[in-house]
Amino acid sequence: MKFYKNFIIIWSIVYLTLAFAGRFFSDKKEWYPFFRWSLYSKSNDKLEVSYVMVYKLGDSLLSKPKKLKDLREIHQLSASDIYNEYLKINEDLDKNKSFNNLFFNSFFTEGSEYAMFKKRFDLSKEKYNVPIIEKQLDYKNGKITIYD
Amino acid sequence: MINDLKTHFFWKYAFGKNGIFSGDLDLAYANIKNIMRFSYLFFAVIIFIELTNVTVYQNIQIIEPTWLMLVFKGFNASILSFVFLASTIIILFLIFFIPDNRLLRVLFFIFFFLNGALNNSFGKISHGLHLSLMVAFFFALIPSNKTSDYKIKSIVMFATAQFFLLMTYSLTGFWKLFWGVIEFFTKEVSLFSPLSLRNTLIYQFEVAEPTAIGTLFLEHYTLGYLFYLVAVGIELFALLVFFKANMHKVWGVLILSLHIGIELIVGVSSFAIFYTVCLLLVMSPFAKQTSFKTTLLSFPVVSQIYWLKNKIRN
Repeated sequence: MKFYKNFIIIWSIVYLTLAFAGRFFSDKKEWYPFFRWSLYSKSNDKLEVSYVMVYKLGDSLLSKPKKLKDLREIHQLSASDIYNEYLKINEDLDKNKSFNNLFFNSFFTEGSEYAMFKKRFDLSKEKYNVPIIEKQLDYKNGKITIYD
Repeated sequence: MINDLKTHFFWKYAFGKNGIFSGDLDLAYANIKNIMRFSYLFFAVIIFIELTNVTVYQNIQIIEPTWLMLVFKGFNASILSFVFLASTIIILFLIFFIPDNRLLRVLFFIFFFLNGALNNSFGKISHGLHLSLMVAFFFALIPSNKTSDYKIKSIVMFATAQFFLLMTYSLTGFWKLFWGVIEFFTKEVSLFSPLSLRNTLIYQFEVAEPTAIGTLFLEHYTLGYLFYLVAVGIELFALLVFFKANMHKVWGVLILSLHIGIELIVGVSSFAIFYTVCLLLVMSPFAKQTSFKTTLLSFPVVSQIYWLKNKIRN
C-alpha cells in the first residue's frame, strides 16, 4: 500500500524533473514521453516563416511556381512536417551558413529547381503590414546558392 | 487501509465534503473495472488506425530515433511497426478474454510505448498519443484481484491517472501565464493583449491550412480573445478540481469543449486525447451530482473566495 499511496508524489517528481530537464538537455527539447506541455504558450509580435517555391520538378518545368507544402503527392508529408524541416534548415543556415539538402533530395529528382524564402511580419499592431520577403537560398542546375 | 489514506498528507483531502473518496468506494471500484474494459476497446481503435503506418513506413528510415529506438536504428521501420502493432493486437485480444490479468496490461503498455517511440523517431515528436500512453501506464499499475487490498489500490491508482491528466492541462495553462507575464514586460504582444490569439492564428495558418471559424476570429479577434481567456482558465485551474467529485464531470465537459474549440478554430485535433478525457473525467468513477448552487460554489476561484469569506466571518 505504501507504494500505491506515495506513487503520486514520486511520479510527479520524476515526471516533472524529466520533462523540464529534457527542455535543456535533449536535442529535441524533450525526452519522449516526458513533455512539459508548453504548446502554444508564447505570443508572437513578430513572425518569420520560411517557405519553398518549386519551379522545376526533374525535367518538368511547372507552368506556375508552386509551394512545396502543396506538392504533397511528391513528398507525402503534412504541412507541419514540412514546416518542422524548414525550422531545421534555418537553424543550420544561422549556425553554420550551410544547407544540407539531403531531406529535399529524398523527393526532388535530378534537374529540379527550387528556392527558399523567408516572410517577416510585424504583428505588434492591429493592422499589420504586408510581409517583407527575402530569398534565403536557391537550388539550380545542381548548385546551391545561399543568400545573406 | 482506508484509515491509512485518511491520515496521508496528500490523500486525506480526498475524504472531505464532496471529496473523491467520500462516496461508495465499492461502487467506484466496480466503475473503474468497467472503464478499464471500455478503455481497451478504445486502445483497439487507436491500434487499428495506426495499422496504416506499416505501409507508410515502407520507404521511410528512422532518422532521429527517440532514446527507446536507438537499439532499433538500423531496422526497417515498416517491419518494426508491424511487430509492435501485431503484438499489441494479440495482447488486446487476450485482454478482452482475461480482463483482470495484470501481466497482459503491462505487456500492452510496453508494446504501445514502443510503437509510440517508433512513430516519434522521424524528426518530430507528436503529442497526440501521450495521454493515451499515460492511461496505459497507470492501468498497468492497477493490481489484479489476487493482490491484497486490490480494491483500494486500484482506486488510488485510477485517481493518480486522473491527477496526471488534470496536471497536463494545468501545465499548459501555467506556461501560457508564465510566458504571458514575461512577454508583458519584454514584448509588445503577450497573453494580456487581445492580439495574442490573432497572432497565434496568423502563425498557425501560415504553416497549416486555415480553418473557417479561425478565419472568422482573425477578423473579430476581440471575441476570439475572450474565448481564449476562458480556455486558459479551464487549463490553468484543472488541477484544482482533482479532489472534488462533483467537478470531475463538469471539468471533463469543459475540457472537451476546449478541444472542440481548438479543432474548429486552430485546426489541431486529436481524437485520442478527446477519448482519454471522456474515460477519466466524464466517466469518472468518483463523479457525484450536487445541487446547482453547491456545484457553482465548488468551481475553482469561486470556492476559494467562498472559503475565505467563511473564514473571515468566523
